[in-house]
Amino acid sequence: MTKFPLFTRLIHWLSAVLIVSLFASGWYMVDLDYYSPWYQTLPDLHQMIGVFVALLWLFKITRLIWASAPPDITTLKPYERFLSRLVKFMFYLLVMCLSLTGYLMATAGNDQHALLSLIKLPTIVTLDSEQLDPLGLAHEYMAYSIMLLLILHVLAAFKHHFFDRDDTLRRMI
Amino acid sequence: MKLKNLLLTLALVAGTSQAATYQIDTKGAHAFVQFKIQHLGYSWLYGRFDEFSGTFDYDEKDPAAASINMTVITESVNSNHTMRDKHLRSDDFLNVEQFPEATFISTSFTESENGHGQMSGDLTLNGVTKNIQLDVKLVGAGKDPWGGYRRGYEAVGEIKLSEFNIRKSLGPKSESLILTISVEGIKQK
Repeated sequence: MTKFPLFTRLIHWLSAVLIVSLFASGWYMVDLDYYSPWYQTLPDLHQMIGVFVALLWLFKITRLIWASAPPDITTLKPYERFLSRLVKFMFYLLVMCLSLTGYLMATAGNDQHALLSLIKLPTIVTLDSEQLDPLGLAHEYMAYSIMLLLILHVLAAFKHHFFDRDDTLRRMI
Repeated sequence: MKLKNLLLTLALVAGTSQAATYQIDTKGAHAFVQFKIQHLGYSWLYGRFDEFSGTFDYDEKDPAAASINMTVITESVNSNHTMRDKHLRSDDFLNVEQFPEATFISTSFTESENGHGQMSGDLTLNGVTKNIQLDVKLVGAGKDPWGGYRRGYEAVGEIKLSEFNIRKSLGPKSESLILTISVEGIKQK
């Protein structure tokens, strides 16, 4: 069995933890009580982790040019190969679009504060406040889509591990 | 003869009691829909609506017939904070997608002295219509330098958020806000 390179595996599991945390924090923070001690810090943390994931994934996607992946498992059926590629591509697309919409919203007004008093994200595009509403909806729906993909991804990994008994999951651990 | 007199009187009454209609000068931005609400009970937060329109009627000879009709575009809420404004537009507060307009239609005006008075009217906000009281002050009226005639008022009232089905809690000191409507009307010919 050829495993994925160590660095690839590290990025994979780190991303998994961070992306799930981003979903959970995003889902939780929009309904926080105004007097909650998390009201100011959780959105800041969400944005900081979001920017980190965006940078990590920019690197991850660029790295596809030179990093070698082990050859596909020979027992993969053509539709499995196709689906896995499609889901992977959707992950790339959604993570980047989510990051972008989040970043645009957080910096649109050029009136953002320094996150946790540490880093102030620079504004790239200034938008009218009303334009944030569709961005926010897109951000929300894409986040739910990623979670659906994630469930599919995990179910597929389990299927390969427990039913097909191949190395798909082991290669990533 | 009697009928003719009656008709003449009626015509005169109708003529003199014909209220002048004033267009609220939003074009020249001489009108404002502002609010202030306490933050934690420690300070005032000010905000405004940038898009609205309306007219009012006023007749010096019959002030009690004065009326106003205003429509505010709720998504134009502006509190100088982009992300807060996004939150204010959401269904936690103004619910602008479902209720894009807020309206105020006066139901009565009681003039006291110097043109000031009390106005009550139906405020429709977040889909809820409630009668509210406004304390109205005449700021001034007269000819403008460009051949027109203007009249300006400032009206202040208090609104309880929960009465308009705005349920997001901002703390015990922030359950109501002070609404200030400051308008200059241009008399229509």
